[in-house]
Amino acid sequence: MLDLGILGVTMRMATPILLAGTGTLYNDRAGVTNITLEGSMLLGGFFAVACSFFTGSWVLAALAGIATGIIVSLVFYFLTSICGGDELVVGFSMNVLLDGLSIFLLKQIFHQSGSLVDERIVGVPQISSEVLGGIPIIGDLFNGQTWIVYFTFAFALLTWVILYRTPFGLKVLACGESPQAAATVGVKVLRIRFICNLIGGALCGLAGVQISLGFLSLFTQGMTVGRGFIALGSVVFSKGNPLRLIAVTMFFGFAEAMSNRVQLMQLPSELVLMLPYLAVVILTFVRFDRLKKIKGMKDQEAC
Amino acid sequence: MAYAVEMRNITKRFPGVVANQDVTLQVRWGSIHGLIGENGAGKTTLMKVLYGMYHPDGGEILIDGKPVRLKDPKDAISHSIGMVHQHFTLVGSLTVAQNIILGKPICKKTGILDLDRANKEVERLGEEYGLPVNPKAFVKDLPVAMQQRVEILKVLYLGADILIMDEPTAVLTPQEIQGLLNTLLLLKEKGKSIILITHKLRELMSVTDDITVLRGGVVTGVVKTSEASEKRIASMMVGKEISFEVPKDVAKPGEEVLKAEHLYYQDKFGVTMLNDVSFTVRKGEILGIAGVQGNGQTELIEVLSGMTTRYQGRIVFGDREIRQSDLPLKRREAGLGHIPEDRQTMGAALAATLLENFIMGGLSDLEYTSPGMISYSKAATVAKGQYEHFDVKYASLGEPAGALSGGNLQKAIVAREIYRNPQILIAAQPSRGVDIGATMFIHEQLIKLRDAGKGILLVSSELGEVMSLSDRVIVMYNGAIVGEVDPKNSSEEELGLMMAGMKGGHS
Repeated sequence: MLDLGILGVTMRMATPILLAGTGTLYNDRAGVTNITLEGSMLLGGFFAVACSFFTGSWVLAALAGIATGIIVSLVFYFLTSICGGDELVVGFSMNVLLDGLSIFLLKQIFHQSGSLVDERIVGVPQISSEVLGGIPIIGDLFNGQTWIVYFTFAFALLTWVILYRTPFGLKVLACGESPQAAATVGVKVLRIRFICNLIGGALCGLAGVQISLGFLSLFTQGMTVGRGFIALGSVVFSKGNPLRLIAVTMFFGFAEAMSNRVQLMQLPSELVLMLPYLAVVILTFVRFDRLKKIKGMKDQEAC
Repeated sequence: MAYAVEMRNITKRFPGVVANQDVTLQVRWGSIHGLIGENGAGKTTLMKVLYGMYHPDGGEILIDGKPVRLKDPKDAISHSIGMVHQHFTLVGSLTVAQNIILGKPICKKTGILDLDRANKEVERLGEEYGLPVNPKAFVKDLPVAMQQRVEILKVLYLGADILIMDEPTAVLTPQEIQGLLNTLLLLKEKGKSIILITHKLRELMSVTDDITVLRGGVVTGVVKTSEASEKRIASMMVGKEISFEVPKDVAKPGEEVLKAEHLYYQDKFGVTMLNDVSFTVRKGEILGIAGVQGNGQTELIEVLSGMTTRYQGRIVFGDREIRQSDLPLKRREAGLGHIPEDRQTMGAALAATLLENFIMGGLSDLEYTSPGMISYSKAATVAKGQYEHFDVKYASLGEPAGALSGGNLQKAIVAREIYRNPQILIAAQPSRGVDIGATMFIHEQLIKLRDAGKGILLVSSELGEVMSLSDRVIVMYNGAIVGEVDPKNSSEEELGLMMAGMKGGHS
């Protein structure tokens, strides 16, 4: 059950989480609480499939997914920063709305309920090379992946450079932690946040593309199955550090890959499918640093 | 030569208030210009106008003789104006150098930040202006005085020739204040113009060249420092001749109301902060505690008020023995009132409304509660009366406490504490960051309370305050009481020596 093939699956499964997580990380560090990842991914995935269905081009499909993510983030920006809506309330209701919207559109456009499977849907091609496949471990990790996988990991690494080594990143960090400090030296806080919001939307849309066209080339209602929230949890757990985010999302990817494997054995599938979420609960909700603090407070009270 | 800054007939209105009315301010190049006035006189508003954060409703601004329009801080910065804010505007998790270069990043040709060069530049800047800093240190790890240094360097780095300093000394210890004032003089020598906002007359007199006085949003005086006296400026500020002496009768102390015996306290690092502290406060007297900050005063207050329960020793309020485990609320019920030293974090909940702040800690007051229920309308009546009595200025009881200026908030806290009718009142730094008018008002109230037969424990780092208010003064040094003096028969010098740990006085 534990052959090296699981590494490739881990990468594939980690990709949408890392992609959406990286996008949200910009929001998080710039001080925007945007939780629309789930809805953004879902609708992005839907329009990618739709576009692929009509045009037969996976490139256009990927662009459609990204554009959808950007539009969702613009709506979020409009509702929060221009209409003054509460970020959490807007984010939460948009998630519910977008889920319903994808089902509605599926019915209206394709007259399908539940899912859309069709030969005309072109998936994102996988890149295979014998040279790459020949290298141990690296080959297992990277051979036969979609370009989205490569892009995701490269961009996550690039994000570290952007955040900690460029003027833009410095401004993002300042806007998130102390907007006042940024504003007083002339940084345009709202503009920085707007850009971060757009990046977040675009990456969430692309994450949806990986889910719908990178795994199987189909769309099923609610097919993101909470990955958006796992990504959100990963950002929180990694404390907004892109390198830590890679590690955390790899862990969740691994948990998902494992649950795929375990499913093949004679175990109740519901239990197995729970594994990645259980991992989230343990990792993100049990905060060891906070536990220490709580214990410290108890000690003090005891004295 | 043109003025560095000339603000002509600036008017700025906020809904319901005129913060600045026809204010004219002229600052010469290479001078330190003091801007003084009570809390709420419009000093900060005027400076925010100059820094582009507010847009004036009337008037014009000239920088170096040329009229300018300042849309935002960026404009102000490009006209070489810099502002050091009262509450620091630093990003804690970034390094000193990163904070300083935030507004004008230093990059390599590739667009990547050149942190090495930034560190060197910051070091050089620090040396040039006598403000050495460690560019790689994280700001959140730095003490307040060091953070202020970073703020000043940040402004200088952005190329400021005109520096606005908004109450820079409010957060500093006496030694640090001296250091800062020296820095200001050095900056002036280098040709910078500085606008210094303060309400501490002594500092103002010692470093400024010119002074503009504001009261209620209008200029009430423009003088050369060399031709002014503290008394004259103070009278311009409050609009009447004032005396710094607090009039009071001789104390008529009664029975003991607060008794502390052999208090010991170690902080979490195991350092002994209180070492065998014993004293009593009697009814109808003010016991002052003098001492350089950090010699155990804060810890003593924490122990007495029940903020910490990890102490040893005995505390008695009147005839009631206080158990070690008694938390603050219990101690309040036993007759303790407490004006905490930090009004923003301990004295008030800034996000809660004024009314909520008023009833905090008094939820069993039958005036406005019945068991289990609070009548907000009754509470509002009580609060209104009490605030009016204490001259607290506010727009509505529903506004957050944080909206009040420092002096007003302090008065609100004093009003609340005195309303509770405490038998013992701990007044910690009651006039810190508060203007002259409010300080005198608070002093009068404390004396009134004393004359009503309550016991007051006054802790203050302002020696003048301790000397003029207290009936007896004990001096703390290194966690212990090193002596007791009669303020009428001893000098500030004598007390100063004791505070420095050199024995003297008469116990």
